[in-house]
Amino acid sequence: MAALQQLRIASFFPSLFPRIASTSFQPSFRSTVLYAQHAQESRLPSVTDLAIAIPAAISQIPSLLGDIWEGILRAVPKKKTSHMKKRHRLLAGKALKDVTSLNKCPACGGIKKMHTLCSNCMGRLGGMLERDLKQKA
Amino acid sequence: MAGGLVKYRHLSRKSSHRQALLRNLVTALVQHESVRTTWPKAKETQRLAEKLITLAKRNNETSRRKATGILFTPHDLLPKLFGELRLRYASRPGGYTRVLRTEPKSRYDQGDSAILELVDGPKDLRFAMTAATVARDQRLGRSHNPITLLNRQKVTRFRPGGQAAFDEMVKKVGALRLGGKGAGPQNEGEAPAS
Ligand SMILES: [Zn+2]
Repeated sequence: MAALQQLRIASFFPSLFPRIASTSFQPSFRSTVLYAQHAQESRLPSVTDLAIAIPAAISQIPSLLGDIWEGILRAVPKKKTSHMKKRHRLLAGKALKDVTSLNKCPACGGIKKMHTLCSNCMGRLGGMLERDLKQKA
Repeated sequence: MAGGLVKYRHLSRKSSHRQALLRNLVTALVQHESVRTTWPKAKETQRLAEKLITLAKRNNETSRRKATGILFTPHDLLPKLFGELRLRYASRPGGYTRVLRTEPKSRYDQGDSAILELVDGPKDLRFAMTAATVARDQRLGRSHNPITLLNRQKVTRFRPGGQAAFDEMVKKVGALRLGGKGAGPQNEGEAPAS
């Protein structure tokens, strides 16, 4: 049975998929030749032989098909993702936020961040204190 | 460390490096009365500085030895610490230092930055800032904000001759005209005292 089924596959496969057949069937090729001789002796296979052989052949095909599709047909991107697309995707939702916690400096009236010294007044007052300290020393 | 109780900021340094950094900062603080660093470093240095001044107030042989171990230049600074600073804070029950947030010092990383200063010292920026606020309110004929009044009270409370020193500072700061040229009451284009 197995001999027959291997014979069939071996005979029609190279014609359909020459590349696959040449690679994946190479190791078992000698055995198929032996079986081919055996099959020629009995000329025509009986009906019962075929009936049993076919389901077994079907069960073996999927594993072969897995090899067939390797590297031939796969869903792949058609184009490289552009720099712009990639940066937009990676930085989505990470834009800088507006600073809304602002108030007026009580010493100069300028706008400053809340809970933070006004940098203008800090510089001028700090400079004044520094100069006074140096004068004393 | 992940998820655990962190008792102090590690400041991305190993122990010896961190210890050296904090000693450097506290030495500079005692020397210059004020240092500007990142906010987390200022807060960590504040702890050490408060402890150092407590040692100065204890003022015995043990505390003197411990303070020598903290400062990097004890020969220059121990007299100041055990003299001037000890007397300045004699009546103050803790809270000898102050951390004020400032605009980021580094434009590059925009890290939180702060000033660490000795309270009631010659570089007390909160004192000068409050005086500047009072000066501006006086110039514009406004009543003082409750926060300004509270700040004035805090800033003059333990300072010797506090109120007089404050009034003097108000005069001095008023002369600076912090609001710029057009900051007089006649061309100030904003609503008074809200
Ligand atoms: Zn200001």
